[in-house]
Amino acid sequence: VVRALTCEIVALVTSPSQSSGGFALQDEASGVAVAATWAGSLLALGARLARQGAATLDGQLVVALTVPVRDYAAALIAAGWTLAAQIGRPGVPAELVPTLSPGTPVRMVVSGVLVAERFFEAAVIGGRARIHVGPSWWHLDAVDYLTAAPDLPEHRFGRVRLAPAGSMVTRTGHARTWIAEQCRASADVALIGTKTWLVADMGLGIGWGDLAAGFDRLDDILRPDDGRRPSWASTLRSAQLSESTSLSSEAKLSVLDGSSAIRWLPDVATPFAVALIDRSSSDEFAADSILQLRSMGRPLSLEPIGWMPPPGIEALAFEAHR
Amino acid sequence: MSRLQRVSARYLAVEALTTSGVELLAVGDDAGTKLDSAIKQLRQDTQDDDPAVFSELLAVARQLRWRVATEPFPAGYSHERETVLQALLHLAARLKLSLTGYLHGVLDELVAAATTVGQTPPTAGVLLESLTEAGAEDCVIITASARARDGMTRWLGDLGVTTPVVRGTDRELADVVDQAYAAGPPRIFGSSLLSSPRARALTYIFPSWVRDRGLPASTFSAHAQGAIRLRARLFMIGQAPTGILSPAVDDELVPTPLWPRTPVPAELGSDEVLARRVLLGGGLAIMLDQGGEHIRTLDPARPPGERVEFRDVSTIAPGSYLVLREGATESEALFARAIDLLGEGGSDVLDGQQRWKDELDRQLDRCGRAGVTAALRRAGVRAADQAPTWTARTVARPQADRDFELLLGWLGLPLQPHLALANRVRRARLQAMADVREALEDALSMASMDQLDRNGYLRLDLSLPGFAGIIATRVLALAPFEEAVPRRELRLPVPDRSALWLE
Repeated sequence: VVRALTCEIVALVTSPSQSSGGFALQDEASGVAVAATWAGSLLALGARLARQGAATLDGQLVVALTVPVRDYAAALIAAGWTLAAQIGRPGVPAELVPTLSPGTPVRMVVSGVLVAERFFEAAVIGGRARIHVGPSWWHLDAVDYLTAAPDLPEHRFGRVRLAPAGSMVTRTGHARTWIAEQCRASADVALIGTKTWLVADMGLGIGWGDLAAGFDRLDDILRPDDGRRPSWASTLRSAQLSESTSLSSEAKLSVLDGSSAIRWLPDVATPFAVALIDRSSSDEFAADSILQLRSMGRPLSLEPIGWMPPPGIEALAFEAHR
Repeated sequence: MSRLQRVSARYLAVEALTTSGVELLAVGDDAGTKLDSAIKQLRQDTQDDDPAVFSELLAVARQLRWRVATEPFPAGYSHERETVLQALLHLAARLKLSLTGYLHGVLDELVAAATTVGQTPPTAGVLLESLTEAGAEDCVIITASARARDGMTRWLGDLGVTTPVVRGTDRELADVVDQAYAAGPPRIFGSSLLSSPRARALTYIFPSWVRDRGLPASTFSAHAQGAIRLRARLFMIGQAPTGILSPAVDDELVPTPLWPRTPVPAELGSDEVLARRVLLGGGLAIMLDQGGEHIRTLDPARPPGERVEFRDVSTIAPGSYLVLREGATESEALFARAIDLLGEGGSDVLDGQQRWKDELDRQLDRCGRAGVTAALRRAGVRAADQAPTWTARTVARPQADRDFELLLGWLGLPLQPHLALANRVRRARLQAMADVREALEDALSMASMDQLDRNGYLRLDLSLPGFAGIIATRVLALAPFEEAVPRRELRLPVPDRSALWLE
């Protein structure tokens, strides 16, 4: 399944007719939709890297890109990775309930709302199975998704309305698992850069195919961890505030957005890293430091990754020794 | 246009430029050629003399030439052009009095040329014509400096032309237009003009005497797949001046300071380090140690709250902004704050720190710098070169745990309590740094970034004790060589006139 999805995302780049036949971006502020090959290509890079999976490299696979302006690029790559990542089939809530011990925190979806609370007990009341989660008793047959979250701290408890599956999520085959995906709590991707800018990029909508199904916001795909939300798929870090010791992370992919972030590249331990150079900035230092790391590692061709830069993007890859 | 449309348009503009290439218009300029030639002649004829005697005159003349090359509008719109010209005339006249006859000729030529470039340069007419042809509304003009931008804007305004004028380093994400005109030769703008274009076509306009007409290249492109490579087509406009012989002297168009060179001693004194002179906005300079700790920088283009960061000294280049403390270096003030944060236990910690520092000092006295460094390296200390800096009380400990462990062993001291005490100082120092960072960001969020950009200098008043006099200042130039300086003079802003004619 993952292979098919990735191929579809990659097809955005290789077949322009397909992209003009339905791939589009939407500016949150203006609502204007724009067809953009470059954006499809950045999504495809993320998806390609996710497909490398358990990499064949001993070291870290670094892809460095230059883009005309930094806007949206890091978030698109991260979203491509997230959309290509595999997710297990969600379990059946009724089967899970007997395994839960009282007091365990759970994530539960009812009528499109994610409820993160403590599970207390299950009972049959008035002939219908109900579960006591948080302050309420819920009809078990109305629960669309349920999972134990024993490590979820109380400050992350709460209720969050989930985003409906838009055209991108649907077209890439995630519609069926979309609820479960939005309940996931692991930051597979770490975005490091100027945080205010990264946050602003999250409002971008991406759509593909039947645009009537709506656009999916990057924020809903990436769900950056703010320390309070009950589920998350990525972390955003400020490159200015980071200390090298705070960069250790559970993430598999780091996207380093701009020169302030790129200086942390030697400290980033994820198996995959993408370094983004903003060409509108006159700062030559980022490019120099990447070339220096490359000279200490092993230069790689992009062909084995199965991705080639579209017009306007320059790219190189190398294996960094860890 | 929405932000998304602007971003998309930039990607398309790169494609358009890659297909069409860029145009170079070299415009015949008689007066400018004479000025350029006179400057080169002066360089050549004074090569064997004391350069200091001519340095200011050369600096002023280069500033005038720089303006001629990058300000394609009448001289009257060029801010303080008259001041530059008068300074040149004054310096030339003074030199003439003190010099023997053989240089009088070249000084006369320089004065004559400087006086005639005070008219409207031929590039101005070519630019206006081009704007009319391309449709002034669909164009943008890119200048090399803020002064050129302001002069150009006023001139066009008086003519009723509404073409926007921006500076090459401006990063504002504006609408992409049909045609951009850059006022000056390609190299002075750097590669971002070509690789992150604001228009679907780009033309550089400059006087024909500018010889360096190559396109700037990025080091990344040379190794990248999908590298952006642009063709350039050169057009000569008007008559290239004839009969002016210009000496083949290597003389850069971009004004650079003439650095006074002091010889580096064979062996450094115990309190000396090697450092580079860095000229700064606001008529200041600092001595910057290249291998030293990170330095606080500022990026005015970033949003409030994320503007300040510590950077490796090697990344500092002209155009960077530094955040410095007046009167004393920051490490002293940070140290004082860190000790304050330690509270009552502060003096015990200091005593403990002093024990190993004194011991290291004794070894330095006994075996000398080289001896200690060599012995520590043999003991396995990786940062052995930095050993002399570890005696300063403001330095908490060697960076690496292993180095500190080996150092204590070599000094014959037990690991504890020294490691624990040094770690407390380090933690307190990190906290002090975070406090300062926060106070700085607060002060900067209320300060005018426009003013900083315009003046290259900004004073900040922090509410933090010991951090009253903080300045943000732009790096104008870095000396290409190092000098030996006492450690206490490092990073201390002092007045310096060398940058007077740079901006």
